[in-house]
Amino acid sequence: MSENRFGSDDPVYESFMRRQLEEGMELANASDLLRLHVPPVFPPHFVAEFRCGGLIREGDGEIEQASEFHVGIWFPPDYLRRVEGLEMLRMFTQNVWHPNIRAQYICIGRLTPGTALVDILYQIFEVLTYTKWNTADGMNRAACAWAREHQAEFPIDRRPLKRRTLSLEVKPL
Amino acid sequence: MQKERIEIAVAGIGNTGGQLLPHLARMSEVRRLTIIDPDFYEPANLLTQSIDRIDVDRPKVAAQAEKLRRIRPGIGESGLEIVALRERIEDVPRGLLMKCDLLVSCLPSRDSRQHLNEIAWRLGKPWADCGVLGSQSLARVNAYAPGPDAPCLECAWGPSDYSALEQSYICGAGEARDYPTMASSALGALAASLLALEIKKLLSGNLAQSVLGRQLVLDAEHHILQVSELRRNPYCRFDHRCWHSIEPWICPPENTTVAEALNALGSLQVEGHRFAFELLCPGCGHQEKALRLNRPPSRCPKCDRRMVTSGFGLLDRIDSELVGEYANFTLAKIGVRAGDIVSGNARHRRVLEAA
Repeated sequence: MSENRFGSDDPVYESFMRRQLEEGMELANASDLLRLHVPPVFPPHFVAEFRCGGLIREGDGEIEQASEFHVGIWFPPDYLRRVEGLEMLRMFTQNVWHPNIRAQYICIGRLTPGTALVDILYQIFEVLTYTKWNTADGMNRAACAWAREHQAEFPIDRRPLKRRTLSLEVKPL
Repeated sequence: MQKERIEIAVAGIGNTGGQLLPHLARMSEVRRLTIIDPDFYEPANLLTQSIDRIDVDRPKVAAQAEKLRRIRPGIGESGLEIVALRERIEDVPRGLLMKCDLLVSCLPSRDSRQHLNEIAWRLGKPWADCGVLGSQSLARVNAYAPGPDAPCLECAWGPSDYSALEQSYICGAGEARDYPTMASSALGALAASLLALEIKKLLSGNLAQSVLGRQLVLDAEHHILQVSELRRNPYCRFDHRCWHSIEPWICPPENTTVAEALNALGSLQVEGHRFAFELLCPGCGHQEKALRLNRPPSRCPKCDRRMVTSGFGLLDRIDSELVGEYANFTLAKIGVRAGDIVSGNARHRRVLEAA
C-alpha cells in the first residue's frame, strides 16, 4: 500500500482527513474571522489564522488587544483511536495572554479521538476571544488571576466565527 | 498452542491479575511468566486485593514475584522463571514480548488495553482480557486471535468507548487515573478463576470450547452467564495489521549512533511512541530542546510535572535529514532500548538486542 495525500496508508484515516479538509475550508469560506492554510508537510498540519479580538501581553507587562492569531493543528496518524489534546495544537502568535495558553501551548479542554477539525477551530476561537477560559487551574496562573478580576470585559470579541446568512425580504414602500 | 514450555505475559497486577498469577504458576506447562505493572501496593489495596500487610508500599511486580517464587521456585526442569517489569505496558519494548505464547490483560484502563490489543496484533500473539464491574457484580473474559479478519478489542468500540479513554489534563487538572472498578476481592477472584480456566483450554489446544473469539460475562448478582461471539467490524478504527517478519538486529543502543541506525534502516520509527524535539513544562515553563523518544513521558527536572510537546515538535519517524545535530547521539540517549522493535523505510522490523 502506498502513502497518499495525507501521508497515511490507512484508508479510514485518509477518508477522515479528506472530510476535515473539506469541512474546514467550508467554514473558512463562510467566515470573516478565519483563514485556513495547509502547509505541504506530512502528516497533515493545518495553520488557522484567526482575525478576531484577543489579548497579548507586551514586554512591558501591558495587556493589549490584538486582532490576529495563528494556531497550528496537527492530526497524528492514530488520531481516530487516541488523542493528546495539548500535542495537537501550537500557538504561533507570541505573548498571547490567556489562562489556557502558555508559550506555544494551548489547552482547549478534553478532546475525544476523532473530534472534527471544525469543532477544534470553534473551541480555539472560543478560547482566543475569552468566551471559554479556565478560572482556576489553567496553564498560565497569572492570567487566571487576572481573568478572574476582569470577567466583566469578556468575551473580547462577540462576533460569530461563521458568518450568518441574512435572508432579508425587502419590499418597496 | 500445545507446547511443553509456555511463556505468558500478564499486564496489570491488581485485584484480578494478582489472583490470576498463582493459578498460572501452578500450571506445569507454564515455564516463564512476565509480569508487568508500574504501581506500588497501597494500604487501600489490603481490602480488595490478595496481598498481605508486608506488601504495602512495595512495587506490585516485586511483591508478586516473591509470592510466585514461593509457589514454584525458578530452579530445575520444572522451575518457573519470573520476569518482573515495573513499567506501563505501553512503555515495555515490544520485542521483550515476542517469545510469549499468550498475552494476558488484567488492566483496568481502556487506554492500556487498547495498547495491548495493538501489541498483540503487531506481534501476532493471542491475547486474553478480563475485567470486573463491582457495581453490577460482573466478571468478564474475552480472548482474541490476531489476524486481518479477526475481531479485535476495538471492533466492538463505538464513539462513546473512544470518548471514555483516559486522558491527562496537563493544563492543571491532573494526570490520567484509572477508573476504580469498585470490585470486591471475591469478584476479582471469580474473574481470575474464569480466566485461568480459559487459559488452560487455550494452552491445551481446546480452542473450540475456549473463549477465543468470544466474550464471556458472568453476572454474579443474578446468576446469569452470557457468551457472545465477537465479530470483525469492517469500520474498526484499528488497522488490524500483523508484522509477519521481525528480524533480529544486533545493535547495542549504548554504542550505536542515530546516524549508524539510519544508515542501516533508512528511517527510524518505534511504533506506539513519538520522537520529541522540544519539551515544555506546563507548570514552571522550563523548556528543553533535545531529540528524545517520549517514553515514558518526560518529567520536569525542576518541578517533576509531566512535560509536553506539540505536534509541530513531534515526529513518528526520523530520517537523516531531520536528525541534524543529533546524528551522533546514541540510540540509548534518544530513548531507544534493547528489545524495542524499530521500523525502517523498507518496512523491516528488527529487534534491538543488547550485545
